[in-house]
Amino acid sequence: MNHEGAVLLIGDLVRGNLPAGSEDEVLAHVKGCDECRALSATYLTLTEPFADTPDSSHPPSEAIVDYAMQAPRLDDDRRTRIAAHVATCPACGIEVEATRSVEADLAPPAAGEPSHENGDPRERKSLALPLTAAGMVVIAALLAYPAWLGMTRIAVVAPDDVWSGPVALPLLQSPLRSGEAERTIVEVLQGQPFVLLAVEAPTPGEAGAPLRFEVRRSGGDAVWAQELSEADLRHYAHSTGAITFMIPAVRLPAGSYALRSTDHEGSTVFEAAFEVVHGRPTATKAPQ
Amino acid sequence: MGRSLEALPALMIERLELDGRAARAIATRRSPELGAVAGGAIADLALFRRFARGEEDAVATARNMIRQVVQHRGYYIPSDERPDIVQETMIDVLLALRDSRFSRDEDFIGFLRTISHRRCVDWMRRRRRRHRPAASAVQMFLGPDDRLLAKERRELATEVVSKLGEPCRGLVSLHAVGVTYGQLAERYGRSEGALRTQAYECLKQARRLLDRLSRRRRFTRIDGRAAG
Repeated sequence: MNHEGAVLLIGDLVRGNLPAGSEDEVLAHVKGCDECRALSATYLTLTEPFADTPDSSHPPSEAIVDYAMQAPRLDDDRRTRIAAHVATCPACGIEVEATRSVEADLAPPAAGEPSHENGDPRERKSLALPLTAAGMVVIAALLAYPAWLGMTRIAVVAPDDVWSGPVALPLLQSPLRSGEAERTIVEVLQGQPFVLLAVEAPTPGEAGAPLRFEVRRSGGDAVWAQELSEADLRHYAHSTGAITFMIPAVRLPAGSYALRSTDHEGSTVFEAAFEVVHGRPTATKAPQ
Repeated sequence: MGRSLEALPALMIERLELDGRAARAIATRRSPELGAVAGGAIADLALFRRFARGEEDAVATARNMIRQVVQHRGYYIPSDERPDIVQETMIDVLLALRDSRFSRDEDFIGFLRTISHRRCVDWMRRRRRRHRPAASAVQMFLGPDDRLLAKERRELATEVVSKLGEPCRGLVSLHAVGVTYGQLAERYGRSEGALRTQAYECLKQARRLLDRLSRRRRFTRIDGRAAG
């Protein structure tokens, strides 16, 4: 083994990771090489803090994970003690770092936090703000100038134009999956502008292609439809695990409906029946 | 309501009351977050109930969520060891439910991830034990003085690691806890040879730092003794 090859294997030699044949070859070179011996000692010294503490002196994995995830169940006193340990223990520091990096990738964004699936979020934010501001100025100018000339009147949205009542949000489950033949009753209050329906997002394995979701009257035509791309489905499956649809109430007069999703070949992958009732105040479930 | 309803964004919910399969969302103002909050809470409740009833597809969904954590590249767990950790986590989840260690105040999906992280950290500790430097290497490369002054050497090493640049620090510390150059190469999309060369450069840099800091410490000790 020559020097150039041996120096690349020093870490593995010290850790005993090399296969027996290679280890003998590298060792034969290292024993007679001052630089290699010095680097081996450096590697040992450098990596010692990561390995030499007995595991019993570390906080248990439960506490490390709670600390990394900032779990509320960890009280301030315990949190401070773990923080002090992690600050002086590189091995635990790596555990905290690994947990946080995995969690940051897998946890859904908190409410109000934008999703950064594509591109650099900082870049998008830096573009979004000036563009939004510029757009608002243009819209304001277009709306206000004729009004200023006295040619038009700007429409003012009355405060009671915004729905502020309760909205039932039923989770529809497909008898195709659950084997249950139940029909959810969706109550639509007077004046309620839309109906919310939630379904479980298909897992990424299931959602290999876009899916079309449609609401059909019982034995009739589709009254509403929406197509979700593979990326959308993947996003919902990873973030919330559910998809919430908002359907204009005017499209749903009282009656029986089915929410169905079909794949690109037209095969039904999900179907759930529901009943729309107008006027009553709550959403309940009734046997079919 | 004369406006186009399709254009109406989703609503912010003030309160979410879960009851059976249905939820009551109290809408207060326009906001695009309803789907994320309400949909997540409802799906979570539904998954928990179906999992607790032992429904096959709910168990499969939970297993997939655990698998996502275990196979994440952040833990560097080799693929042949992942199934055992997933299974270990599933057993822990079932025991926690049986022993009422799971409260409905927590979200179930978060609970699954928490248990998965714990088992992955346990695995990291096992890997660290497996990859301790060989005793023969310690005997061969560290002099008797080095072995005696273990505490001092440890402090010195911590200082050197903190002074190394970020790429070197990451490379040395991950290799020290048992992550192989092959795994690191896969994670960072580089060749194993390039990483080994980089590790060699890092070691040379660390050697220089170690010499400089050791000399400074020796001088400080001598100065301190002289001053005293």
